[in-house]
Amino acid sequence: MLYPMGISVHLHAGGALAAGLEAARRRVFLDPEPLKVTHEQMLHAAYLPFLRHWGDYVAPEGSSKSFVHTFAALEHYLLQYPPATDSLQPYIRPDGSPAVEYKFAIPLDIAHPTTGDPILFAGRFDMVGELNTPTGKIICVVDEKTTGSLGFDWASKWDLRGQFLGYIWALRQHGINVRHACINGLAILKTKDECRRALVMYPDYLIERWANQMHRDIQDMVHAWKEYQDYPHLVDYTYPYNFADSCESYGGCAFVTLCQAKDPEPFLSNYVHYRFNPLEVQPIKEVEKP
Amino acid sequence: MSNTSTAGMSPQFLDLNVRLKQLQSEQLLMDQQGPPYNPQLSDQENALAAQTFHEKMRQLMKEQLSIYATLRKTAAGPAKAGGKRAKKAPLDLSALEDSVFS
Repeated sequence: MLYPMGISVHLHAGGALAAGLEAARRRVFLDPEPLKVTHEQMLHAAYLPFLRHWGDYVAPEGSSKSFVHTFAALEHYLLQYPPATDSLQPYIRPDGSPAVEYKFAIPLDIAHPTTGDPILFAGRFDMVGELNTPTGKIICVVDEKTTGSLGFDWASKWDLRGQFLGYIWALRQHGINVRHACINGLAILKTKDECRRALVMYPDYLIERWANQMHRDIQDMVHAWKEYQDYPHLVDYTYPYNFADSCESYGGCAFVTLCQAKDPEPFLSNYVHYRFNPLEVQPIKEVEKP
Repeated sequence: MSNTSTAGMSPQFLDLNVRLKQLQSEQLLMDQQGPPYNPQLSDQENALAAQTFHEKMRQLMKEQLSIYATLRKTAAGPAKAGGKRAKKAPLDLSALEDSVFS
């Protein structure tokens, strides 16, 4: 896949925070006496994985997502929701291991256009959890979302989020009957820390609707790829332009330069080839040039 | 490379950020290299060298977390530290860090 040069501070900070939080959770949940793990021990466990992910990256000028602020957001989360006593606990797999950083790769009944192998629906997310509520335990997908602000309507953003519908669908293929997602919002700010938790329920019909759409989308991708091989000169019909607000949403599409150019080829040098593997901690890696 | 001016920034905070960056680089380098191993040494000697390595890693981390705590407390201002709300705007350390690390 083509990827713009440079590193997104949002993705980088979020990845580092996820790495640190995973390590802190494992420190607690794999300890014979989780309640005796101190806050300092959690920070020590989290720091090196966080630093490994962060590396020597320098956040853009003016960004609140610096190393210190991002790690502070992680610390604040651990203080507000201490893993050992949090109402949200990890789901314990049949082998006794906590379901922290859950991976999946589910073969679909759609063949890859070149290999003929089943296309895999694959991914990984932060945790499968059990949320203790007054009415009982709720199994849920758990995901952390870093943000610059937690507005009043932050929780409603996830009602139709395909990411969580996909995770839930994947868990159901593994025999885990789940219909909830617990989203932990962490605001990375310069002078204060803020966390918020949202629990979203997805009805069965919506999960099925998402699954049907996912299958259609992948079939369309396979069809488009085959069509492009047969009729490369008709690429604009195969991969149509949006010519709408998606070009400007979320800070602007990174490929606007290519769409605006009469001949995009000379501008491809502004991009790098990456291979995307959602099962790896660092899912995006640059493809080495021959 | 950031062109943020450091005018008005306390030398103490500049030093802390510089020191933090140095320690981070040292920790990452040691982490990549891993504990030393010399096949010409005995198992006991190699175990001792590995123990020294891991202790050094722990000390590096401890110092970094101490610096981090100081920087964080300063960024939050007296309100977060438990005191009265500061009348002045809190120190914006993100610009400081970017200028130091450029």
